[in-house]
Amino acid sequence: MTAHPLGNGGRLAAIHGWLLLLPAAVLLAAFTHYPAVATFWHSLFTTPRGNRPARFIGADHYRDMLADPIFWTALQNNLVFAAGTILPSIALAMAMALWVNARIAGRGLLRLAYFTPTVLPMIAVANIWLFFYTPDYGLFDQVRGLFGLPAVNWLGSGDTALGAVIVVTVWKEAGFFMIFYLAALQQIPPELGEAAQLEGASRWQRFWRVTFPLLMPTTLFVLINATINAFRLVDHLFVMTRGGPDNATSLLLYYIYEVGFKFWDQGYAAALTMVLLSLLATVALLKFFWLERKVHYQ
Amino acid sequence: MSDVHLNAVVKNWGTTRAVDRVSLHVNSGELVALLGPSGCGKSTTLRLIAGLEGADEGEIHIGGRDVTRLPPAQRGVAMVFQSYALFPHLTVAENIVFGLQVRRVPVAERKRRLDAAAELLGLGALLDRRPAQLSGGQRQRVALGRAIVAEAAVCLMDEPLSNLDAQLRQQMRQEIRALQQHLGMTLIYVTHDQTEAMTMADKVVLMRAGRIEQHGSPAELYERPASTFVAGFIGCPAMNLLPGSAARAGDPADSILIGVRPEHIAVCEPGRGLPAQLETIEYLGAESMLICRHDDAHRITVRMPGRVTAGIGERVGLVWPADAEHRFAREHGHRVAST
Ligand SMILES: Nc1ncnc2c1ncn2[C@@H]1O[C@H](COP(=O)(O)OP(=O)(O)OP(=O)(O)O)[C@@H](O)[C@H]1O
Ligand SMILES: [Mg+2]
Repeated sequence: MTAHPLGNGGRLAAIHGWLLLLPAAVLLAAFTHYPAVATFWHSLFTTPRGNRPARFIGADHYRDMLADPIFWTALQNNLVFAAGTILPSIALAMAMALWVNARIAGRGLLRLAYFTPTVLPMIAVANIWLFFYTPDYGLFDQVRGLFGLPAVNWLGSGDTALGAVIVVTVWKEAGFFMIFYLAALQQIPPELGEAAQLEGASRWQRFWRVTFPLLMPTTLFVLINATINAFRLVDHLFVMTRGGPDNATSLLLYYIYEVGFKFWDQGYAAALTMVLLSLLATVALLKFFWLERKVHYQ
Repeated sequence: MSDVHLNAVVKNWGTTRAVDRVSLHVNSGELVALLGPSGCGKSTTLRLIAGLEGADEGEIHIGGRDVTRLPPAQRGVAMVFQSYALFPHLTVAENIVFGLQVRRVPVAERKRRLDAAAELLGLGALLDRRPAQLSGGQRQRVALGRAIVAEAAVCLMDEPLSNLDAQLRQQMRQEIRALQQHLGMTLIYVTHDQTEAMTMADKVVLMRAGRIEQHGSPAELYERPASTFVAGFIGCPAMNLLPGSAARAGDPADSILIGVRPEHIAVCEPGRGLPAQLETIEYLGAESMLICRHDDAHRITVRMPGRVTAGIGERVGLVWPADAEHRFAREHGHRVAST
């Protein structure tokens, strides 16, 4: 037997291992774990103002939250936003990738076209869509005008604003997720489809029995990203609606921003942040422990 | 009846003609090997029969039915791919019954066919594994299993053994042949290995640059090659080819090439037969290859049984019986009648 390069002790090797992990651990602790704990700590205190220092109030912020109608609106909006963006953007991304991956003329151009939303910053995307949604002059109303339909204030009406914001997000995200699906599709050997075809599988069966299961690892990855983005993406709100009208498009993170940096109630903002964090943590745990088992990795 | 008939089939890839007016008849229950050098259009021909590619011209009939425009699923063929094309997310059993499931064959019937195939191929203990957990030879068997449960009368195989080691290849060769005869399948088998083609096939189709060079039994190809290409491709070492003028003084000069198989040549004392010089001897155990050179220009291989004790550089004479001679027109390489 050859000697271990780090000497004869397993302990030395273990220390070596921990030392290798140290830089990453320090960064994680300093910029992720400590802020999370600090936020929780701050959420137990009042916000210091002028000559009044922070005072310990325990769970008071959390109790206030239960009675805060805007919090509930934001949470409900966020759930609708998640439901409206996650599955549609994944389905759209997969459909586009399948379409672009097929041997069709002008494939390169098409790929580029679908990819464009991804390279644009969310703020720019929001500006483009702001124009589409403009009452009377915007693209949508111009088209509606052709059919003699009345103008609609898409972003200004509480009934349509959240839907309009969801559409923009799906448009932006689907192009990005498509790239992952496209890469995964290129990894699937074409003989698999041919074999299935020879065995009598229809296009539909080939998709559900062969392509879809083989895309599962990608779907899991994209699903996690889409879910996190559903609680994280608020850039477009600043340009398009500012959470309005009447909080109809206020999402959790946007509300936290408003509480923390417009009303300067940082203690309450910290408590809201803890709610958001625990939501995301629950999602991540569910995904890893439940979905992971159903995914086939090659 | 499940004979396969190709009539002047053409397939172009852009400007290259991969399959050039190929006409071919494969009888029911026959094993036909498509043989040829790399890029000669063997795989393309097979894929045309399977329907994975569409023919640009010509017709394809399977079991008397014109299938030229039919999709692969309706042609009644099964196929084994070179890469096996097993579904990595399905178990061995699921892979084998994939087609039956898709075609909604009743569960009991599915099970019966799966059990029969597993029994036949010795896959019983592996049915719950995934392809990634199998060896190359086992994957090969699963691919065979998937092809036979379909109970298609025609089976197509594209270099199915090329990913296996030499020993396993020999074993599988016999197994596939036995399986084909047991099930009475019509089997079209693509290979670039002449040993595979010669040992397994009832008929060999030798292709070159998209055309059929010769179609016949292994013995016919070996004993009566239709061209210098066939003569050079079939047989190892290849047939010796000499200009007529060199092989026999006073022959109708250079318009003829004379071909003689290495095993038909005998070495004798110099002065008789064709004068040559012994260059090297390759000793192979049961036989030896004597590499000779005639006239400093033409290399001639002589196959002799056992070990040969002759001196390198020695002058010898080479003789062969007249009926072992093959004659080809030098211009186009086709066989010409012996005079
Ligand atoms: N999808 C394709 N697109 C363009 N050209 C192709 C395609 N498939 C095959 N060809 C060309 O057609 C010709 C015949 O190819 P084919 O795959 O049938 O050869 P092969 O006899 O199977 O060779 P090998 O023994 O190397 O597998 C080759 O010149 C090849 O480059
Ligand atoms: Mg090939």
